[in-house]
Amino acid sequence: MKDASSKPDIGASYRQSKRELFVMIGAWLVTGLWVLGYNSQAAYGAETEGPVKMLFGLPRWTVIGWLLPLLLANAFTIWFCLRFMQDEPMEELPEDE
Amino acid sequence: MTGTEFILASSAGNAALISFALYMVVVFVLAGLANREQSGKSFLNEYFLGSRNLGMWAFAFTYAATSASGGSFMGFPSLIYTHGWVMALWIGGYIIVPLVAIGLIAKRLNQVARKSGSITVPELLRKRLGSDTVGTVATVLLVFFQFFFLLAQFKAGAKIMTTLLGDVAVYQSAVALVDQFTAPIPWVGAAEADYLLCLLVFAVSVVAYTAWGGFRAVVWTDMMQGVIMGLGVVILLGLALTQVGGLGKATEELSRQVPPRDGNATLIRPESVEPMTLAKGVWLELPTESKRQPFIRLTQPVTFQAGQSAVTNVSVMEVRTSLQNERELKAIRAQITESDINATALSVKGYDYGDDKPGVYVSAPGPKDSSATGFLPIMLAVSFFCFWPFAGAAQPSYMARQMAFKDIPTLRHSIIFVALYFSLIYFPLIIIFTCGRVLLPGWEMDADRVMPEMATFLTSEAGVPWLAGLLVAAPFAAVMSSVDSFLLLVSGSVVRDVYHRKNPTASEAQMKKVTYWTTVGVGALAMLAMLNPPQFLQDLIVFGSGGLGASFLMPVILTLYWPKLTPRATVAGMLSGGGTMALFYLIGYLLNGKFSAYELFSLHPFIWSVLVSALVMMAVARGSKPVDADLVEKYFGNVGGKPESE
Repeated sequence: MKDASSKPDIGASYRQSKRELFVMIGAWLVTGLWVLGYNSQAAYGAETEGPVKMLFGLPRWTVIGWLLPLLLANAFTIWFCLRFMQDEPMEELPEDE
Repeated sequence: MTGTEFILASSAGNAALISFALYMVVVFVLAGLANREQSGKSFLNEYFLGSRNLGMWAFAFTYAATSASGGSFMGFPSLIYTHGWVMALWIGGYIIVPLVAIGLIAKRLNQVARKSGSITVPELLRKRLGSDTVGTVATVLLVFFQFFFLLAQFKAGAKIMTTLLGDVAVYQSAVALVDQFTAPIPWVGAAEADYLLCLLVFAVSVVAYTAWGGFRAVVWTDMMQGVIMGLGVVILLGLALTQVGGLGKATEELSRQVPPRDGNATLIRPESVEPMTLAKGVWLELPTESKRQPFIRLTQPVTFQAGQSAVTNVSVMEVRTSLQNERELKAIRAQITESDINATALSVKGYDYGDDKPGVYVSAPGPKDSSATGFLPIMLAVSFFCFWPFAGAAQPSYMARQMAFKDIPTLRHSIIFVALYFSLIYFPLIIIFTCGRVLLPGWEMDADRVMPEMATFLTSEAGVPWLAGLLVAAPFAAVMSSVDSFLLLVSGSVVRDVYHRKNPTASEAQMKKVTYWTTVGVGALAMLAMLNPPQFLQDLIVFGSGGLGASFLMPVILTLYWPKLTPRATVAGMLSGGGTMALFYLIGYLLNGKFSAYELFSLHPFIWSVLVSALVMMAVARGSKPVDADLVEKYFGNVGGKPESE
């Protein structure tokens, strides 16, 4: 990670922020495909399947289609924030106009 | 009410009053301390952004607490209660909200705000694009949509207080007094006296501490409120699971439930010369059917005059409980107090989707009374998966916080904290209020009150009624933490983007005076507007946040990430996004006769609004005058040439 005390380089910082933006949107897309893709069958078909299918006392689709992606998204968030997101030097605070 | 019930209710009420009073004392102490911090610092920078010096705990808690608004603790529970487990899909986007909603723009926003010396979002847009028109349009849209959001929180705050203080003797006397004075006043008198009193107390207290302490008071109280919310959810979860007999038991009973039916009936009582009033919410048991036990619940008070033995056309809700649902049957029968009243001539109508359909509360699309396609058709689920992360990213109240953190490590650690915090709040909330359908049936008639009712019920059942005060303080804290932030945001926009621009030489004393009075004025307006509120909080919240998201998402993202963006394209993007959202709600109102969104191809208007906004911006940017090259250089560096050395 960069030295946060060095002089801000707005161009480099802008390019890095843009890279981070694309990774975040990618993570959102993958999560969306999982949650909506899986549940379009499992959750929307659950009503016609007879007795509710359960896992850990919850409807099965909520565990596989909600809780599991939630745990993995949290793991990804931790990796992203600790390993991928770059520190940048911050601009001096300007006074009020 | 039996003697024991009365004692429980009274002690719960007194405990609630003590908890509430203590809570308010701490809030005002924090506001006083924050006010002292303002001395010797630039007033506007300190009052609206806390001198841009928020550390990890402050930034993370203020973000989480502001986000977990009255919607999370009032509207969301009422929707879970009404529609069941499908709400996990409705809120599916929250799986990735902390990363996307904060990470998408926070770093760039903070950098550009520092570089331009901006305190508000309209000011940032104005300075980055070098256009006063951009700032003015942004201010108007921000104040308009944020005000709707603010209204919903005022209603939530007042509703929570009515439940919290309902059994306190002093409060009941005050309600009677308010009723006496306000009943003859047109419009004001139409509101229920208890709601009116609570709305007044809530509005005065939250406006006072926000105006007094500014952003720092808001952040400090947010930290306290964030802790209370977390604790409240954990305790509620434990109590709910214990009392329902475990998660599996709750899910099984829920899977056998069918939606209630609304209609009317004739009530008959034994001959009596005494007048008699049955309160709203009274339960009556009907003859058992083959697999279900029907009950009816009064949705309005009913009065038998002296000598009258029958009342016709009584508004009721019919609840048909499976005979296998032991816990639910026990819960209803425990509330039956009138065994000598009979109901006949029952005429009820079921939900358009889910009527008499077991399993509807543990599957998608979930039951809905006014739609044959259910609560959440798949395309609407897709809409909400887009809505929460991206509308969240474009909320000016969050942006104000994103301008205020002190460095990037603070941001990185805060995103992790918020991700874990949200996981521990939202998933348990779904479990708690699906258990609520089993433990506390029949609250569809006033679903917005289910959270405080659950808190009071669970603690009384557990023999710890004093705990109700703390638990009900959780949603109250959530509402307050949102209201204070929104008040500050709206007053900040008015003061900084309107008054200060017109009067750039105004002294600090003048600025303080205008700031305080603007905050008070906005609060008073919101209170007046909420005297006769609409039924569902969540409708207002989704409209307000959707409108803000539609107006600001693409303009802010492109302002931060696209050097070729022009001022004219930004104005066009904001107006087309916000305008499309308002248009879809107008069409919804005209088609349905109530405040609701028109969902073209089952997609939420937010999706259409953002698409329209993006396309309009791209088109207009091609043919309009570019931003001054110096401004591009200032905020993007040497984007056209070779990369600068790092």
